[in-house]
Amino acid sequence: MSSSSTTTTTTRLLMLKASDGVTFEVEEAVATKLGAINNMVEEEGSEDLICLPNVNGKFLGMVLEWCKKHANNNTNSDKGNDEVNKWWDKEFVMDLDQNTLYHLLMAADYLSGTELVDLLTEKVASMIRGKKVEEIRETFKIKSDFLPGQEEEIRKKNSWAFE
Amino acid sequence: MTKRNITDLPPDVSDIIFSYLSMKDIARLTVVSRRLRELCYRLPFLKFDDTIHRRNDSKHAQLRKFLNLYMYERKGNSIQSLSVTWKVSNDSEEDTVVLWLDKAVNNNVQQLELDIELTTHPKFELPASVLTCKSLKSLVVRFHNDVGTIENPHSGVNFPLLTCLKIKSVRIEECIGELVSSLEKLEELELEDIVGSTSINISSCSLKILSITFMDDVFEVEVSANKLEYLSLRWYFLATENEKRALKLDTPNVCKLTWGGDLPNLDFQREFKNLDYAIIRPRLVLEANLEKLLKAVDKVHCLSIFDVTLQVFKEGRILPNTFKYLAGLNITVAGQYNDLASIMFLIFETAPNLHRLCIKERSANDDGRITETAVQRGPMQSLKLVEIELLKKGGEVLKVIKYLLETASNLHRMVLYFHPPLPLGIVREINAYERASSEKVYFGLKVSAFLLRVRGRGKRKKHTVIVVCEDPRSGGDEKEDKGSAEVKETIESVKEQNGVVTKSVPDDSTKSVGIHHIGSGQKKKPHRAAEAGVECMQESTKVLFCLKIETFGSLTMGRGRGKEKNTVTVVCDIPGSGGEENVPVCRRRGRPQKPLNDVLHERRKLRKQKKMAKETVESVKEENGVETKSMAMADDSAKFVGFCHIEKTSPIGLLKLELCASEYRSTVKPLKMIGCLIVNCCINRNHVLNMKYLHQKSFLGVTPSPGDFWTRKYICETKSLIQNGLCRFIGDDRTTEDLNLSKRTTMPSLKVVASAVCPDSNGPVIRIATCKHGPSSPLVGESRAALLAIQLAASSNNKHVIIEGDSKVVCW
Repeated sequence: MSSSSTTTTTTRLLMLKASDGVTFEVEEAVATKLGAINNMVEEEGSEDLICLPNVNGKFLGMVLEWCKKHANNNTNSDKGNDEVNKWWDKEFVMDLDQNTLYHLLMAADYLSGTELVDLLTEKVASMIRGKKVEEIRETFKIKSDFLPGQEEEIRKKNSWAFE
Repeated sequence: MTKRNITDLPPDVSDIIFSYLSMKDIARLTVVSRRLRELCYRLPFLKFDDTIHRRNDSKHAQLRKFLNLYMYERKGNSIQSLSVTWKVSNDSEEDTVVLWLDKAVNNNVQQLELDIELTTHPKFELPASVLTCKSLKSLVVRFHNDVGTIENPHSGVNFPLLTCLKIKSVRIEECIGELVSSLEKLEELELEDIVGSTSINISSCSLKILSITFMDDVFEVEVSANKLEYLSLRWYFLATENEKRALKLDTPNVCKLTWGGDLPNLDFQREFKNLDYAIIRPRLVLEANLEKLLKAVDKVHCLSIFDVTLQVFKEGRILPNTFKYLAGLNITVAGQYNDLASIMFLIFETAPNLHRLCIKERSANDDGRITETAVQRGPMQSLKLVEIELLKKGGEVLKVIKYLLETASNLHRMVLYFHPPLPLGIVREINAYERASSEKVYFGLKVSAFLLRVRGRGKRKKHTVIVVCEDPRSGGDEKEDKGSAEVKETIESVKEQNGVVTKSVPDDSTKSVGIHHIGSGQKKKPHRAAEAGVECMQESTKVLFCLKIETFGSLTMGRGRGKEKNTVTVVCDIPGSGGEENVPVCRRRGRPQKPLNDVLHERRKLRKQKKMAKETVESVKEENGVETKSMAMADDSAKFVGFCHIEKTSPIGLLKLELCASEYRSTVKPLKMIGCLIVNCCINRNHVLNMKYLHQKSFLGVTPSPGDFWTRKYICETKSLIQNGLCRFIGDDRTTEDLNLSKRTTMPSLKVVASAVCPDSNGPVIRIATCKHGPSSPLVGESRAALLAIQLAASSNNKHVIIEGDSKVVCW
């Protein structure tokens, strides 16, 4: 998807290499939405190939897709565009399963894409918000590892939160 | 790759996640598993908020108890930020909050935010431990209902790292000036309602942002800050006490200044060198002080002033050329201001390099409604573009317009927006100016359409606003009265006039200007359609069509399977240029009176004829005197057809089309050479796509079979395509059969899909664009679809456009 950059402007293209060898060619303006890449670009200067050993190609692609969307909209600070952007973000996170969410978050965190981390963490928070303990366990497939009776004891103490 | 769960995230990421959650959610999380419990107790961002429990005392107490316990069980885990929003009503509550603050201070808190509501408990004293917290970078303390206290601790206030300090409703025993000057790194300071001292002296060499709201009991203020960039001052006192108040400013680097309240005696130590933007909004004016202030800001680039300030200009106290650098000026005046024109001339003199002027008119008798007058102008001699938008019919602004017309020698374009109807008096008056007639002045309409609730038994409802631009000068006087009605009223009165079809415009171009009611096209179902048209006629290309459509109100929900149709039809009619002044414009708009069958029949007939020869089309038109949307003509080899006809159209510059719905606003500009195009935009809360455009096999890769079009399955197959923002182009060589337009189907989905479909005169779809939109009201979606349609229209070089909206709302 990233190789489909149609604009033939003078913007510099960067090659990003994921852990599984997949490479992405993206415009500099897009990649520098990610703090880590921005730093590398500034430090290394002419280096055009950046290896990202901690990120899988699939998730790097998704991260870059997000970057592209937001880099484009940076140039056009229209209010309507902001709105479109918000919807885009919402849909971007809407159907993510937990595994993807986890890896995306890790990738975004590793690449210092602060805005993306915020978006994804907010999504996770919304999965927790207002849910009962059992629902949280079910959602995240967590097993209670408290000793018998321990949980009940805590619950008793904070009964207001479990109504 | 192993399946990982979000609970395996690194702690810094999970901290961010938990920071979005309330303490109640956190309390639940502590029971889920040991790992989560551990994470919860090391959370560095804490937000204690009792707002939702304030009315329930027992819950309030339970929450407090939990937080106490929580803070205790955190042990020594560091706290980065703590925000406490709490209602303090007795001593023990105060002790609790103080306990939390102490705990936070002990754990090296960096950001503290206190939002304390004092109720029956009249006093809250900020603990001394906070005032000596060395790690603190930002401190926000706000009290509500009453005044809290900050008392100087024995060891002195000590915030070596503090960069941001905001305090509200606080009694400070120590002189605030000393406090501020002891903060070496302070960059942002916000003071509001500080009680305790009558004289405030702020002196800081690091301060960048300062916002002060003074109260009546402060008499002397002195601010000296070299690096200050943003300064906002509000000082309210009795008008008779002007003389007793003094303000001394030594802030040379301020670039943005906001001034409100009353004006004290001013003393500017050094002038503002870099002032970029200034808002001056005094409450009552002592002119000497205001004059001094205005002179002090003479290097400003952009200035906002309010009508009281104009007095100073009026009396000629500001010398010509005072504001040499002023490029933008915003003036807000009350509607009844009488001398605006003369004052404006004086202002023009004081600011020779003004580029942009914006006048906002607050009309006195029309609360909340603001009339805007925006004049964009260059220097007097090179004035190029003027835009004026006004509600009222002339008056003072008219004088300004005339003045501009006389003096601006290089006027390139002037656009005047009016609410319909176009005031003929003004138009004539302006056109009387020689310069105005030289293709420079354009009139625009601003249409505010209040969508009418039409309740009928039918499945179909229709609201139409038709805006047609015609020559205002040729308008007949007898119609003016009618024209003066508001659009809204017009629409409402449609019912009474139902059955009335649009008038057709006679050939002699002595057409009326005003609002016309276009009744239902279907005789037997008069309540199902309501259309209102606003027409004004123009004779030459110089009348530019600038249109602003604002729709308010909600769409109607019909009974049961209510279906409604809201149509905004924009028709630009520009008869031939110069030579052919009296080109006949025959038009009948809206659904014809005739029974539907006739129309359909005519339509088919037309199509046949069209296929045979394009030229016949025009004759057909004249012969019938009727044009319907579906049978509209194209003016050239016609890929797109609109329902209005156009004779040898000269270029139309639709400069700006703004569609505003209450929630969504979009602007498209500039649109040039919009051609004749029918764009159907349909949106739906439930994703209803008008399938009549999608039946082509090649288009969607589905084999259509009669009776099978509208099945759910069919849409499912198309759904993914459409939701991907599919944009397909279909060649115009296809032919279609007649379709049953009323059939449709729905697809429950939370997404709104806006689509714009452009069929040509014969029905074949030429282009389709769709886009996805989040769940929102139909009006918003409609606007989105309209925007899409206009973008589509703009990208095609057609001369006429008809934008038609279909909104089918399916009740949940």
